[in-house]
Amino acid sequence: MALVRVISSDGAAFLVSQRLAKRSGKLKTEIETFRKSSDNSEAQPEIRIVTIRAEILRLVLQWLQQHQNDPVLPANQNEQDGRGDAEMGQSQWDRDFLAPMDLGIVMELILAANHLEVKGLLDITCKLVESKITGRTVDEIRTAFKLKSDFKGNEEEQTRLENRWCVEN
Amino acid sequence: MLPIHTIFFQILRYCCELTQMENKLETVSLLDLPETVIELVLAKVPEEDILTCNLVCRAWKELICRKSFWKKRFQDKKLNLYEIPKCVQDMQGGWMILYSQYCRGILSKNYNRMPPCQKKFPNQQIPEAPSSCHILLADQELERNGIFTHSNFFEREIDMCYFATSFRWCSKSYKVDLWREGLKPGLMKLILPFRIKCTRICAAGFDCGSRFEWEIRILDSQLKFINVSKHPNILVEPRDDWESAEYSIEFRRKDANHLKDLRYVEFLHRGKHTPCWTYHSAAKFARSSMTVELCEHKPEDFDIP
Repeated sequence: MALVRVISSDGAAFLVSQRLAKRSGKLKTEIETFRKSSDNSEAQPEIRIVTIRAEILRLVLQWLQQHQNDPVLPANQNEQDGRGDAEMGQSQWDRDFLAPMDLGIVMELILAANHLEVKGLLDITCKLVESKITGRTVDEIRTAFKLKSDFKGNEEEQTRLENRWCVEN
Repeated sequence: MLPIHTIFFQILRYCCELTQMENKLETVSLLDLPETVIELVLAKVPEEDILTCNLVCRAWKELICRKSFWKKRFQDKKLNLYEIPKCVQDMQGGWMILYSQYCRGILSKNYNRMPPCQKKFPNQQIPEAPSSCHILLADQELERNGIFTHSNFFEREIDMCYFATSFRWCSKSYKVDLWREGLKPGLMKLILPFRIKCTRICAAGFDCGSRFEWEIRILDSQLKFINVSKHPNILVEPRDDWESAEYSIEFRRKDANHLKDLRYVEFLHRGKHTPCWTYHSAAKFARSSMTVELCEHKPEDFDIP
């Protein structure tokens, strides 16, 4: 089985099968680039992901492993089609996978999934964070995301006024 | 004195705790998150929640005001962003136009929600007309939903999409509540200069001519007239073709101060047969349309601050 070494920003190496790694758009490109530039077709590719730390990379690989037999979703799939939407793909396993994570980790996963081009994972993580926004009040969102209002002067009042123009009576 | 290996382990444990603490600190603070993540997430937030998100903090608001944010959404909904001129997209507050176009299609929809009748009645067979008015109600659902209101101008009857009249005056009307349709004064000001365009379609009977009139009224929120434009009688020859005409009212920079009063557009047309004896066929009105279009700037628009 052809393998590939994927190395995190903090130097941890993960040895995974190329078949699995290729389910990430980014890793697939990297492997192909490596193949083209290498004379030895047997050589094991090594890919450094400088933006993702070991803990997060491990989670991405774990997710890929679980979903290795799912059909690959094209990254540019139209959301309106409904197909490939997070809800469709979200299994009990996914829910258990995401349940223990705090919002910070989930956000890091989003970044990683985006960088590695793993659409399915990107969808479910975004959906999770989005659920902390949808239907919530401004204060609830600020609390959940540990954000503070940094509007100056009448900026917030101005935005409220603009919002009133955007809603029907 | 502790044995050396105990001290060693103590130090080791301390180090481990430090590393763990560091690990905890390393968890990305949500404030410092790269914009990409927020962008990815906000892209999925339903439109009604966008108006909460822009109140969270400056970074979020800034993102929502950005053209690229809307470009993606327009693509997903298969809407054409370029219906909105670049200068409107780029102006301060332009995001409100993008939002309203995205959610309510303020610049591309027909504000008159009557269903098109030509499609519903491809080969009009006009039934025998009673003495005053014959009305074909195609969709009574609409009336129950209270979209149209009765009033006593002319001997007006309200129809849903299409009606035929005999030898007495018969009229139809609709009233658009611009605010309810998502076009509020604040937005009107942004899209100046613009025009409200009304189009009417009608036809005479195949065997007799008809007379038509139409009128457009602009009303404020107390239903007081701001502007009334009446159009002269037109005569249509006996034939079954549909005849269309349009009229628009322009609002330019100089009108900016009046916009806060502008709320309803009422459109009515009426018609009757030219001969008074016929009842076999009748004058026909079909769906009319009302749209809001942006106009070209004229030099005088720039003189007004």
